[in-house]
This record gives sequence, structure tokens and C-alpha cells, in this order.
Amino acid sequence: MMTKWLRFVIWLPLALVTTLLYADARPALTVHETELRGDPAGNAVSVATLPAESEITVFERKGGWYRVEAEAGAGWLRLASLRFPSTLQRESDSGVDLLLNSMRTGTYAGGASSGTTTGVRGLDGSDIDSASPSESQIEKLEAQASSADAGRTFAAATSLEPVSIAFLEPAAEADATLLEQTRSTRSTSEVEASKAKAKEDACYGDGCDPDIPFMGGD
Amino acid sequence: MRRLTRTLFLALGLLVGSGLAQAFSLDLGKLVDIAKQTSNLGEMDEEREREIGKDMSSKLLGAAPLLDNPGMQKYVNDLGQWLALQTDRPGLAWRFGILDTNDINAFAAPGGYVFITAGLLGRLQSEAELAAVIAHEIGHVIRKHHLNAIQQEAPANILTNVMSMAADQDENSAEWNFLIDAGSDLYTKGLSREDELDADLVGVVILTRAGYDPYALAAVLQRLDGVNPGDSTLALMQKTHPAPDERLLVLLAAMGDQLDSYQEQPAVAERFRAKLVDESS
Repeated sequence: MMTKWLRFVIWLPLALVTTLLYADARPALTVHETELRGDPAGNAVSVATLPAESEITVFERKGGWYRVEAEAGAGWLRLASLRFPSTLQRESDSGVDLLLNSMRTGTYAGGASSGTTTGVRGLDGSDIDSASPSESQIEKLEAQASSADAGRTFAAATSLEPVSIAFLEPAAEADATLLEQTRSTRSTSEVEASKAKAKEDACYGDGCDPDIPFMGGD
Repeated sequence: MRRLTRTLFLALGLLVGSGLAQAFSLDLGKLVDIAKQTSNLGEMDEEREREIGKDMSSKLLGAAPLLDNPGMQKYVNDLGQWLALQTDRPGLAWRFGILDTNDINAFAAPGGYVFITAGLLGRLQSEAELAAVIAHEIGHVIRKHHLNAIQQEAPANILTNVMSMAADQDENSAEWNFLIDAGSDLYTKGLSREDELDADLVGVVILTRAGYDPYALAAVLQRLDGVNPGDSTLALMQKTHPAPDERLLVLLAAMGDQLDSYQEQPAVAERFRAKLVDESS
């Protein structure tokens, strides 16, 4: 009985993390009218033309293409033609914190069986402003340093082949229209939430009121 | 006799002359040294650059210590070294670290210091995505974005003083501390929008040179765009970076189809996932 319970305690977080790591199906929206193609290539046969704001499910990515399912059928969409709507759920509730906590402790069972909540540690501007330099952390950082040779071995182990390419030049004109178009597909609540958040974030420290303009620091 | 005297005088003259010339050339050397005492931090020697980076990192690590997981830390350091080999500064003493915080962010400091938070690491899905984040930070280092930003903050006399300080001179001077404070402030104020967009363009090329899927950086930005904007773990990154959707558009516009012939390069999702599971159990 006890063993069964213990096994469950160990299994549950493992299952959660595995789900998190392999949870590839995500809801998305098209940002403009776009061709759903049979293969991940611009010249592949068109399966359907999806209007802007079509609801789709994304399964995997191959280079600049996503494999998706839409009402009109299954196929491939260009990366730039869709966006993931902001999840209503806090990301920290999704299992990421659990994963982090287990990376800290090196064990799933530790956190779960001791009944402690996951160690949520933030890092905001005031944390950095008020921090004291840590010489011991610098020593730790030095101690864990790797080498160029280790880097080469690391790459060879998974057959990464280096290629020679030049740096990119910025595009002459960043496409402001496209940005507007993408943003116009956001629901009002999404935009409102993000604006309110930005206002709040611009403002930290005592006596800062996000509703008073120009109090938001820099 | 007269001739001998003349010869002697001539010899003496030459001797004095060459001595003068030597003395003058010494002075010239000094003058050149003084002229070299630039106030341009970008021309700082590597040792000095690393000292600034170390002191900035020390402060950052004071706020968020390294994640206590040697296996994951080694993974990130090996990967980082491989990426650094694809730049024109492979010989820097590159140091990579995972910060123990749930916040979603990544940082760099001059001289080869690069950090990613555990919160961001946990939201990535492949080694190529991790490489993309690290390559963006490496971009800040090789383009000396922090040094240039500090340069704009500091008065000229402080810069000249620091640049002319001997490497072994006491670094607790007011001038030095001014620079470190200005550098650390960048972690809460952010670099310029242009520098962030530039680091994306540099990063995507380092990523591709290293043999990874070039679209991994775009995928990370797209995922960040989908994180609930009300999530407090995003707050500092939102404050210090252009919005992910804007970064994505600028990146894709610059990429065009130039990297499409490399889009079959691997994302290395399996090794990444195996590592996460290994190091968590």
C-alpha cells in the first residue's frame, strides 16, 4: 500500500514533466490569409486557403514551417503566418516550476513528499539594484567552465556540421504594417492585459503609482 | 691635427645628435602612448574588458545565484563553447551559467559572460532553441553592446582615467565603480532597441554556423510572444527588450530566404529533452 503510494508520488511529477516536454499540440491563429500546403515548401501543393484569424492546432515545426490542423484540413503553414495567443493560464502553473524545482534538487520525490511548494524565485529590477556582488558565485562559475575542445566533442557527438555564412544585414525597412496586422488580430482583452502589465512594470519601487503618467521610471 | 680635431668634433656631434635622437624617440614613444590613451571603451584590452564583465556578473549572480545542477551547467557550457567557436572571438574565456530563478530572461557581460535563467530554459523545446538564446547573448558580447552603452553614460574624464589605469591598479576607485554601476544598470534599464535587434541578427547566424536549425530563434520569439503578458516572470524582460512580435518580424525580414537552404539542419530536440529528464531525476 505504502509502496504503491510512494510509486505514485514519484510517477506523478515525472508524468507531468514528460507531458510538458512533449506537449507539442498548441492552439494558434493565422495572422493573415495564407496557403495551407501539403509539404513544408513554398512550391508545395496548396491544400486550402485559410483566412486571417483561422483557429488551428500546431503539432510540430520543421525549419520555417509548422505542421498544423485546421478545419479545412491538415498541412503546413509558414512560421510567419501564425501566432500563439497568450495563454490565460499562468505559465508557472503549467509544470515549468515543477521541472525547475526538480532540476534544483535533482529529484522529483523530494519536493513532492516533503509537501513543500515549488521554490518560485523571481528576478526583478530591484533584486539586481540591491544585490551585493558575489565572489563565491564567480568562483563557482569559473569552476564549471568548459573548453573549446569540449565544445567540439559536444558538437561531434550529435553530428553538428559547422557551416560558413556571412552576417546578415538588417532589412531596409522593418515591416510596420505587418506588425500592425499581427497585433490587430489580438483580442481586446489580450491587448488590455498586456498594456496594464506594461504600465505596472514600468514602475517599481516605493511610492510608484502606475496610474500617474511618467512615474514609471526610465 | 686640425683634421683630427674636426673629425673628433664631428664624431662628438654625431654622438650627441644620436643621443638626442634617442631621447627624442623615447619622448615620441611616450607621446604616442598618451595619444593611445583613448576614452573609447570598445578599444579596451581584453583583460580589462573581462574585469568589467566579471564585476557586472558578480552583481548579477548576487541577485540570482547559479542553479545547483552541475550536469545542466556543463551542458550549457559545452554548447556555449561550440557556439563561441563560430565567432571572431573564439579565444575569449567564455563562461556560461544557468541562473536559479523562475524569471524568463538571459544576460551577457563584456569579456565572454553569458547567463540564461532556469525559467527560460524550462520553456525551451530543443537544443537549437537553447543555442539560439545563448547565441543572441554571445552577439551582445562580440558586438560590445554593453561597453558601448556604458561609454554613452560615463563622462569623458572617467573613461580616460579608467582606460589609462594600469591593469594591476586598484579597481575600487570611484571611476571603476562608476563603470560597473553603469554596466549593472543595463540589466534593469536594458540595452537599446537597436542593440537587441542586432543581437538577434548576429545570434541567428552563429546558431546556423554551428549547424543548428536557423528557425529556432524565430520559434523562441514566437513562443515568448504567446506567454501570458500578465505573467510576472516576464516583467523584467518585457521592460528591457523590444516586444517579441516586433523582434520576430525584424528577424524574419532580415533572414528573408537566405538561411532557408539550412533549414534541414537539426534542432536536436532528443538530446535536450533527455538531458532535462536526466538532470531532474
